[in-house]
Amino acid sequence: MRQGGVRTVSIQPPSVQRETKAVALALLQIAVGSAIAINASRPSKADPASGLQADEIGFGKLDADDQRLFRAAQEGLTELEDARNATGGWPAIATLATRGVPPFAVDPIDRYGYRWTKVSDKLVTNYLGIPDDAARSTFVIGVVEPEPGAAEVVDEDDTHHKLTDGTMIHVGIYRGPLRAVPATPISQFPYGEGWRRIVGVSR
Amino acid sequence: MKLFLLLILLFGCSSKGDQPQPKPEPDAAPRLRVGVTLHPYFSWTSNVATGLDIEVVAVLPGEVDAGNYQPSPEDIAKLAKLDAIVINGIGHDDFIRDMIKASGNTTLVVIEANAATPLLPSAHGAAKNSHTFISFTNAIQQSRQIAARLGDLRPALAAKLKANASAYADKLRAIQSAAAKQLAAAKIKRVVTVHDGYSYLLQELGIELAGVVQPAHGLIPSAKELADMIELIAKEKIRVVLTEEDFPDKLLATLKEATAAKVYVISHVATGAYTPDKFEREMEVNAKALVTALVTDPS
Repeated sequence: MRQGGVRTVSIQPPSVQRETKAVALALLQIAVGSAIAINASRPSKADPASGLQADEIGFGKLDADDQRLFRAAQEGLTELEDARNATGGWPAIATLATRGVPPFAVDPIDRYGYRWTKVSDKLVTNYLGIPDDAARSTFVIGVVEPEPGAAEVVDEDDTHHKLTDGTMIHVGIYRGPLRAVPATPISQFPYGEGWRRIVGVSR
Repeated sequence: MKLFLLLILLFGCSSKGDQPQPKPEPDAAPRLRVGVTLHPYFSWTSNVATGLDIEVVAVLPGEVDAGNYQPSPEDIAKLAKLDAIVINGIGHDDFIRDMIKASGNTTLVVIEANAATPLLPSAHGAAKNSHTFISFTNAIQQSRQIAARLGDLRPALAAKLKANASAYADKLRAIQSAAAKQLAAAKIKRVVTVHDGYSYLLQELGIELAGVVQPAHGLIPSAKELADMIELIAKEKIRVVLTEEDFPDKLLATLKEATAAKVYVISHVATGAYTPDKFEREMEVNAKALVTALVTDPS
């Protein structure tokens, strides 16, 4: 095969078997890496007895003050949806407070100094109740609307509410460690940071 | 005399109960007949149905507390003519399922008022507390639920039902808010109740429940249970006991004599004539009783 100083080398393609093995190994590495990354920020298991996911907490596990606030937040969420149905937008805190809608209205019973703020962008709206008392949790009523024209085919349940115009929105009432009003609304409430979605009625 | 008759004609029919029902349009859906098992549900359903062609039917006689009720053929017959029925569904009207079966009404739509209500535990035992209806917050939430479900049955009325529920919510909130303002200055924030029906109301008004005398709904406490409660009242220096209307006077007298606590009556909204305003009237009286017990009298 040698012709003078020139050397000819034949390059053979890898066998199908070896190529498949290499691709499988790469995929496995990606899968393992992703799982580690996801598990670091998400709950690891659900509680079969309660039917709750690990990033959820049942109403019955809250203390009386948080139960009271959750019940008020549920009432508030219904009023928010009513206002959205009527006006096409999510209402200002002052509008709700003027009407006496809890938890946004002045609450003479509140011992922890909850102050409510609305933060929203195009599709995500948060109503955040941050207490003066650092020992208490922040509550967030979170709403996410779908992209315009994106039809979501899911049944209504405690996290999917249908507006009168047919729009299916994601809703949730969360409890977490936030201490300052964020610049943009929160759309993901990471388990690893201490956020829990409160479930009023166990499935 | 003529003027008198004219005044009767003009104003004689102006009471709420005598208001003429709206006449349905010729092509409108037939009148919706909605049954209820408890007094509060009559008030809530009547309020969300205001001005609409919906008849609200009380299944039980007014003078009977659901806790002591025995089904009768007459009441089962009422179920046969209903389109829907609002029930508690978590222990306060367990009799109704068998009554519905016995009525043969296979198309009856059952509206469970508590389907989306967070439940508190009973004071004794593992059961959930079924007295969700003695509460402003729950009344607002459940009225909206009733309105939504009736709207499913009569989509043409859905918007009006929703608007009525919203107006009713504002009315109830005004009563709750007035009480909360006064109770914020309460000198006493911890009470004992005779009946396990007030947990939801006390929680929303920021009052702590230290104990419940009755071992279960409608049961008279034994001598030992009463003695235990007297001990608790003394040990925790409880100064207010809230009782229901029907608790035996003799036992109440024992409680009063053996402790320094004062006793106040809170309505269970469980008996009497069915009227649209019964719930708000009795809850307003309850709110005032709490203010008297916890704010006014201790000062």
